[in-house]
Amino acid sequence: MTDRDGYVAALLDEVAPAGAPRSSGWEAIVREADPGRVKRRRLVAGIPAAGALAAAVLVLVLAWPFGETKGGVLDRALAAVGNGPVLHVVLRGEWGGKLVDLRTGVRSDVFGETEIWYDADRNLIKHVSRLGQTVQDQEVYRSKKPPADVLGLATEYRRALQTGSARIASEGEVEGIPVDWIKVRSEMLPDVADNRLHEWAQEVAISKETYEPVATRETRDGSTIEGSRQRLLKMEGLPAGSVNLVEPAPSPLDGKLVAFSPGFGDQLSRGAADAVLSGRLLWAGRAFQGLPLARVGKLEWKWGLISGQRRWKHEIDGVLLAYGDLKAVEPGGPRFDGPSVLIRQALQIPLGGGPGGFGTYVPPEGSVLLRSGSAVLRRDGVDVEIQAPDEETALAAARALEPMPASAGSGARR
Amino acid sequence: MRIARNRSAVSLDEIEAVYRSRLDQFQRVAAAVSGDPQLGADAVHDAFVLAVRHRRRFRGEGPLEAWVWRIVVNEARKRRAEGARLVSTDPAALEPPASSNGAGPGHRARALVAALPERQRLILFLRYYADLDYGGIAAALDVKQGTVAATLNAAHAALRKQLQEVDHD
Repeated sequence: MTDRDGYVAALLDEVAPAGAPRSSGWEAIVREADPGRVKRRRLVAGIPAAGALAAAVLVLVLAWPFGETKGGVLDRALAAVGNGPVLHVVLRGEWGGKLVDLRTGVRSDVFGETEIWYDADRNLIKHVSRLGQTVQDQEVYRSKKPPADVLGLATEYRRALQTGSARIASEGEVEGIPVDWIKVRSEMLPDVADNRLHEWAQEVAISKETYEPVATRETRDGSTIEGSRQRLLKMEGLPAGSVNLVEPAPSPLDGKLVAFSPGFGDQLSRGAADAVLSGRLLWAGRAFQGLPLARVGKLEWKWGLISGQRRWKHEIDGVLLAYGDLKAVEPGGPRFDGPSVLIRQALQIPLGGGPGGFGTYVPPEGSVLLRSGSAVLRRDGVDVEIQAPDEETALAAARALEPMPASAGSGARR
Repeated sequence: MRIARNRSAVSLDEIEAVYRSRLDQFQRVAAAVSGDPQLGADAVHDAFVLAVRHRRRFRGEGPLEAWVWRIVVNEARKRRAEGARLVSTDPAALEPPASSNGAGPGHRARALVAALPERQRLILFLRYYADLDYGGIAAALDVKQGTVAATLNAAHAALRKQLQEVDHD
């Protein structure tokens, strides 16, 4: 018997005939995963993930005072957030970074924050994301109804409050604040990996002193799921009409998708690369920390795809400098033998995008924003992203950057 | 020099590529697992919401598509477990309802497949609807390739046997 049987194939065709996909659309998926992500993604190729943020917000939306509950911690927690119909939440995300002064080495945190207003009466949601107080994205959108999982969670939470079945799952500490973790929602979910059921839960941390929510997290079998914890900075119920949830003006850069070449397709000579940046190309020399300059490539950012015309409203070129022992450029990407350092540059940082993917945030001149081994900086009007194996290497590369001498640009090799 | 390998992380674009290239297969498998095309579509939607939301948890220890398949299968199973429109495994279901003109081959086929053990069903769906090879199925369900081959063979045998029994009744 072969691994595909004609009878079985015919049988299965009857069970689930092939048909046109019933797609809700990719945009809807991204929006539900992270309401703020859609526009950020349109404009930013590599902005740090904030997917769990939306989940945290949904929990907080659901952790809303629906009515009188029995006394105790939960009652006080509900009282602490007020009872206005417009929910206002500020969450600190995990998509910030460290700002490093290149001269002194002094470091400071740059937090990513998400602020959301939810007006249930008008089904309006306003979403603003900031990095270091710089607005990265904002939008107001109307939702006919909350997503189904939110409704389900709301129902469970309300029932738990009304019946007193909500319970304190555990105690803990959030940034030095003693807290009680309140289980908002839980369910047993199967996992085909071990063919067993596991408890998945969403919890809210309540300050033991103020009873205000200070964090959220997801758990699996009682253990915190890595990366799921979100710091809650504010949650309050505002009076109806106290917030004007107005649609922001359409962004001229609005578009459906950002695309960019990785710099490993079109190879440039150094002179041509310098020309792309109007003679302001920065480099770290012919070699950096023993890694040779292996490739100079052309980068392309495109956004605002015009449907049906296969062209983009906006295009910006940039340059990639790749240091390392580049063995091959394969369909899946470059293959280095050993470590590599990639330096991307562009003159005009796309609003919300740019080489570093840190949105419109631009570090002050002389400093670098570090995150996950990548560094972003602006020097002499050139926006730069450095991707290195670790932060120290990225910082070293940032310090090593200098204008490429004209003689280097006329070299025959690349 | 303290240099290690560059970190790899799954990007939104990579997940989108999987979504766009395999959507019809995801929905077909999810429809079969959940027992209803709409439930299947919902399962795929929610699975990708989860994949996007939790993409940092993808450790790159296997193919991204296999990771997504696992989430899709879980979501589809969850919907079936919720009992919205569960396919009956009652042997009586092998018989078309007397009053129904619509209980044709599709009804019988669903009942035959529903009577299989779940692992056999899942592997059948992934093999036929998604056209995954043994390695792909093994990665998606986190089982050994030998298990896939043996289970698929058992499923074929069971279905043929049931078809013969039904045809002879």
